[in-house]
Amino acid sequence: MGTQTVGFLLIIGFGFLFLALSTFVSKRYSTENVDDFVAAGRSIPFGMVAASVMVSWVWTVTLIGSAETGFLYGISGGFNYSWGAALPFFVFIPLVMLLRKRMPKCTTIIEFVNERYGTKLANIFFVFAVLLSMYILLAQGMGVGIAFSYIMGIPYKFAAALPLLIVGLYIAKAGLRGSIFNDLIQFFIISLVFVVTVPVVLKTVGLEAIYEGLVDVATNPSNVNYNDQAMTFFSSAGLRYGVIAFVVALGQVLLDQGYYSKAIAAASTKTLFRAYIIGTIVAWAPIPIISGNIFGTGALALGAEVGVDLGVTTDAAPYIMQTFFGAGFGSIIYILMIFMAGMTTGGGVLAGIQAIFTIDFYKKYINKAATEKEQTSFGKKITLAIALIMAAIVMLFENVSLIQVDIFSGIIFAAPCSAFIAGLIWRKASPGIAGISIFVGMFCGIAAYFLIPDTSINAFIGNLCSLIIPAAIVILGSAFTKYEFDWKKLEDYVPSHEVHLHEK
Amino acid sequence: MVSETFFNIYYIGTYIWFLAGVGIIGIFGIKDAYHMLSKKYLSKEGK
Repeated sequence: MGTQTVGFLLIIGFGFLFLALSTFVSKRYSTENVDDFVAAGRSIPFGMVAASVMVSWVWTVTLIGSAETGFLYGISGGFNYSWGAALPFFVFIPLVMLLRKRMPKCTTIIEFVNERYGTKLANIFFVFAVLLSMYILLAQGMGVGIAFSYIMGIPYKFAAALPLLIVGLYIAKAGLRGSIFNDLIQFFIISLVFVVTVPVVLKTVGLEAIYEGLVDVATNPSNVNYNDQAMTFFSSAGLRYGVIAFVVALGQVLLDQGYYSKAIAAASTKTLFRAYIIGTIVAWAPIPIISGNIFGTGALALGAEVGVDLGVTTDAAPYIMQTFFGAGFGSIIYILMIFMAGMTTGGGVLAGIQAIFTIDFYKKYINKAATEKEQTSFGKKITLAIALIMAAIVMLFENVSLIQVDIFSGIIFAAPCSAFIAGLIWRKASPGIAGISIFVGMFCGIAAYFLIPDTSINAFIGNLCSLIIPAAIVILGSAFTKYEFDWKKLEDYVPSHEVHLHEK
Repeated sequence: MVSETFFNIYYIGTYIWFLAGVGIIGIFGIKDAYHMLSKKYLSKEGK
């Protein structure tokens, strides 16, 4: 059987499996009620939430991009990717616990912003949330497309677009609960593949060979990948990347409704806390380190050269698999893992955006008298439409570096974070100041990115501007206003759909 | 530059850390999926 055929069979076979599972879930549990559909009835236990959170944060970028950072920064690459992308959960977890406490009947971040800051800012956050979801879907499609085209020889356009359509179908079918059940299956596949692949690669390449190869990269100026910091654990370039990873990830976590949906769906606040700690810090954090170390520094140690062995640095991980396994079993299970990562992250994001459109858009702008059944029906249609649009767009992103796209996204999505955080913890944060902070921060970030000629620091400064300037504006601006928000408004909030709280 | 001993511990140790994390989630994931498919849960949440 040809490698292309195997690749096609993998995508289509697993596509059918996930669709079958979501059909099973949709028959077993109600999806007509809005709260059941978008918040899984707020009764999901610890293990399911933890597995879902972990795999949702395993992006294709986590696997392919962290390998790229290992290739670019050496031994510090995976570590800096890991702490940078895990740290935002230390911000997110207390925030979402506070949100559950302050606004018990809230489901989406747009509902919160609407009550806290008013409709204008809610609309701005709505646009950011939709754009972020579209970007995340784009990144997942790109990752799957790169892996399948490089290793299996499947045309990029097909491999990138089809998974987005499959995930769109199964999320539309069964809502958040369907997503969480599928996530558990995908958790086992991702974990199993990682558990098996890593020792096989290590045994084939050899730890000693990687070490010696890296020493050569760090000490031999005639090495094609010469980088004197390749063996420095706290390298300055790596640390700068870690800060960028933090800023990028902060926006991606705080503005992704998918994470709030899962946090709201957790059976209790205690369940939420445990599931997010175990899912992110304990289970997720080692993955980019391992990927950066095994695949990134592995390719570096083996002397892979951009333009010769690699099209772009993003190809580091597929290169290792292709080199050692051809299109054999090792490669197949590796791209299976990439495929699952793309599906789970895409599923989580689509479930989130489905919630936003179902709760915050349809009844507000299209049909004010809509029943819950009409709302969920609209949510299903819009989920499919977004998946279709992104499947078309991802085809245009062939041969683009995943990490470069990811870094630039941080500048856009970090800008609203301060306004959001301040809105939840500080009653003096006013709508006007919050709105100004977002646009000034984003403008400064983009200006820094494009106007600083030194490409080794422009992304770093651009990301920092986008995060820090809005924070400064919110703190200084709000400190001198007389505005004070009444938290009781959040506590008394009653959504237009029925919500049953299991927790007192 | 990191020593070879640190390098080996770092590479192998991270893998063990990963095994511990997915082990915890794996055990509770199966237990909770079983619970969610049980009659008791379905009688409260199912159709």
